[in-house]
Amino acid sequence: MASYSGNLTQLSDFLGTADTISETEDAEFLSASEAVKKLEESWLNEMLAPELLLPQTELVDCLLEQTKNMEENLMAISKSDFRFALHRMEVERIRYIVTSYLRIRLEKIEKFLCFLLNNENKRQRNEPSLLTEDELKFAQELNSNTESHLKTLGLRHMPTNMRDINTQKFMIAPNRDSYVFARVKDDAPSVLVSDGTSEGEMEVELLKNSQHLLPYRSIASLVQNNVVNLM
Amino acid sequence: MKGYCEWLTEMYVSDLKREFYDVILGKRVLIFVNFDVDAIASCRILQYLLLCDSISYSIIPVQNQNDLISAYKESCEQSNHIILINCGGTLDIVEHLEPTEEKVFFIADSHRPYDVCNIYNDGQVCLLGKSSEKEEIPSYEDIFGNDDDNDESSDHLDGEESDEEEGDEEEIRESKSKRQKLDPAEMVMRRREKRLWHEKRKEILFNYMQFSFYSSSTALLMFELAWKLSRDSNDLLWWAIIGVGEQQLLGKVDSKTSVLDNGKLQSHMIRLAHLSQHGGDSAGTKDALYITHEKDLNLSMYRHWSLLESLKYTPQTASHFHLWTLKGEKKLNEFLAELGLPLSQCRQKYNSMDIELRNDLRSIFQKKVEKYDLEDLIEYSFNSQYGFRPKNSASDFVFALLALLDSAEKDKDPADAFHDALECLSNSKMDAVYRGIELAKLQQIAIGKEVHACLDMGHVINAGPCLYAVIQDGTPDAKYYGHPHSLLMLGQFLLKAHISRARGRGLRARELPLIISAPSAIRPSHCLLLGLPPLSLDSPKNLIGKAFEQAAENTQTEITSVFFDSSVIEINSEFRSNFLDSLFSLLE
Amino acid sequence: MFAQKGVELIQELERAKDFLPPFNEDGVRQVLEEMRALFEENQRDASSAVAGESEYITSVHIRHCALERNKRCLMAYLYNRLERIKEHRWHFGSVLPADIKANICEPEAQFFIKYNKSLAAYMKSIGEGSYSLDLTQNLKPPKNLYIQVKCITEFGEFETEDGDIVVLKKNSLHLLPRVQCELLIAQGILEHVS
Repeated sequence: MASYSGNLTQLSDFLGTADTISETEDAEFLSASEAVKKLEESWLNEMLAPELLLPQTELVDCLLEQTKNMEENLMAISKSDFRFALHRMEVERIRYIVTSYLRIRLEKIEKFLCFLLNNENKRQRNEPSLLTEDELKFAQELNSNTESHLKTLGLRHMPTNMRDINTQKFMIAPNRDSYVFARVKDDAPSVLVSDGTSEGEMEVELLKNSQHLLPYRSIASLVQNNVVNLM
Repeated sequence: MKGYCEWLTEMYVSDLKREFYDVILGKRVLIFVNFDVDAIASCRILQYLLLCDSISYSIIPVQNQNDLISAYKESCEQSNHIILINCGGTLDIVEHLEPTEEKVFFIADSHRPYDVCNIYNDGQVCLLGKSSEKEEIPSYEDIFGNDDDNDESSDHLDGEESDEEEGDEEEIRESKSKRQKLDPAEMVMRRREKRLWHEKRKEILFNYMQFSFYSSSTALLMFELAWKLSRDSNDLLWWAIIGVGEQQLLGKVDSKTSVLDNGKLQSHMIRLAHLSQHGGDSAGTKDALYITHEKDLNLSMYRHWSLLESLKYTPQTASHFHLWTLKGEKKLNEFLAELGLPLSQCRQKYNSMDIELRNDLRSIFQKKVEKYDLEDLIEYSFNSQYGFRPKNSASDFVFALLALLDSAEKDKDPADAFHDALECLSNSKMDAVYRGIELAKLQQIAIGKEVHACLDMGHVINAGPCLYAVIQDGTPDAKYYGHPHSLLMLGQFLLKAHISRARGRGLRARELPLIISAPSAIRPSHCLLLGLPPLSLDSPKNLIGKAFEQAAENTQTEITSVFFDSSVIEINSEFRSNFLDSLFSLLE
Repeated sequence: MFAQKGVELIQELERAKDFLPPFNEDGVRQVLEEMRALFEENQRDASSAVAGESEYITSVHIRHCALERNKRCLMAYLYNRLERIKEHRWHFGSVLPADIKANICEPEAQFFIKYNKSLAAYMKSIGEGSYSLDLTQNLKPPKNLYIQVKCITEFGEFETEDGDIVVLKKNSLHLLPRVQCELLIAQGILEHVS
């Protein structure tokens, strides 16, 4: 996969003083290049994880805002200046990452539709949701459309005791036991992994910058907390 | 009134970077490309340059004037900058295309003579390249200005388009003269002067437009632009070599221009070789393009054929040995025996020949060419090699491209053929080229066989002022030469072969031009007519184009395809004999 | 053999993996018919079973399994077709080509329209509504800003986002910004030429 973490200092140079962009809930200020790097990580994580991860809405919003500003600035430069081409490429690349990230999420949402909606219903108020508001709306609409379609074409005509959709049967849950490659960003507490036998478990140490091949389940929470990156 | 030289340098764009390339930066361009190898090579170089600078373009291939006019009408809204490659120089652009004011045309055309209205156009039409003495362009005053009414008419002319017709000028002057209220005697004198001036103008124009010929290759022009932009590379140089090579292979330019062009190409080649040596681009050796300029056998595609077949179908050797006769074949065998090349080796494909023979081939031939009077068998040629793959000569590429271009038939869209040919010029993709070479071999065989047939059956007839040969509809394999360039190759081969047979009185045929006709491969029931200048002249200047035009007018025949090279036309086969009769009477 | 028709429907989809076969209305109807027949028979036997004749219990059981199987096959058939239709949105854009339109039935067409609407609403809402992103574009990482394309079918005039007009004549070559060409390449009007 091509590396997108190229030298993005041009971005900040080019934008002049507009350097600080986003605020996360912890009031962190991110510079433009850091934002893109973070998005790349989230993108890769989302691509490789078997389940849907927490949405990075602020990141997406701020980067989209960023590209819009960049495009406006680009209008000022003549097309033949080679800086135009460079920055245009940068805009395109960022847009590609954002689009791909959102696309992957939609794919997962469509795949795990019932499971996610079920979770959403069961979720407590203080737990963060895996779906953004708009994603939730999309998922609900898709679900109701599918249901009504199946009802119209099939279920309606079936005998009375069979007219329900058994959501349990329909549900596809993500496979949290699939193996993934992971790189540890910071030192983390070691995890317990089954060593192949039915009762034994082994401890895997997670030191900074080490790389492992593990079942997703054991590092799921670490991925969500950004301590471990998938590769 | 500006001086002659100043006018000329204004209309010709010699600083290609400043006055052409910088103008189109950041804009969209529309490019029309003619169906010939030089144009395709130029187009490829230009494509590379435009891609580097992200200049949006649209390329439309055109075969003849009608194509150009209709394609222009369809596409003209796309852009205000239009580039014409090897087309449009010889026709009055403003009159034929009727462009709006903001359109600008850049013409890079190797066809000559340029239409005077294009040369003296005031900024809308720019001719890329330099004007040269031998083109003998008439001066502005001779065509448009008149020394007497200088002061008044110059005011008037500055405000109008410079391609005024005779009629308008007369009216303007007449009205002016009326206004000046001269007495009757002076008015009669003035009218007489004007009449004389107009007659002189007609004569000058006639002499100027009489001979059609080619100037230096457009691909070379484009390469020099690339060089000025510091974007040149071996790949681009190779394409320029192919463009120049086509001109030399088809005998479109005289030897002086050839030598000059080859010299320029060589110096570029050496310069680029030095650069890559010192630059140390070691990463690309596997697929890098190496170009060399060395003495080589001047036999058609001999690296892709067997030696014997190559000798048989190369016009020079075939005509020299009279290879359409048994005696000729025996002479050839003697020649090969004297060279020490076993016949069995010569019959094999070049790649399967003995490796010692292959490596020494040139020197083997070198020893005996003088004795057999075949000096032009050994010539300098440009060869290229991608990485460690087999070598190819520029003429191999030219043959391949010509064959692919001419592969358009009734069922196959000509533009598809154009793209097949363009594909050959992609970096290091040799499949298209090999396909083209296979096609070219078939083409050369068909041409050779047809020459053989014509000579055997005496199809070349001396009509007095010229020689002519008519290839009838329904001849097998006629599709291989039913296109302008392949017909040119056939014509040249036939003329050479015919003359080589001539003895005694027949030698006068050396001074006669040849008119050849063949059925058109694209349009059934139409035929192509091509005129070749006589061999004795040794100059590619051709007056047949003008003669065709005149004969068409005389017989009211419609020329269905007006090609950019006026020495070829297409007409309906029914009218051919009528047309030829009128043509012969003109040429007397 | 029970549920034979249902299995046939599934096989039909399995065989036509690359395209969407026409909606087999007949097949669906037959499956529903069979289900109705089975159900009615079961009703009769169930009432007798309740009345005390226990030998009908196995047949009721068998028919019930057959019913379940039929339902499963039918659901799978319908659902799978929906999946393919959704995929078409991502490949062909929001307008279905005529040959696909001919193969879908009215409710499926309705589903497509509704899916389109949901997707469009979602795409508009990205970035707090100030920036709408077309998620069906940009399917590959961008390598360069401009690509060279050849027009393979006559299309006529095409207006780019910058307002430039491009006349897409058959066999003409163009250098255009990548983003403008993606949709046309997917529709088969342009072909990428390296």
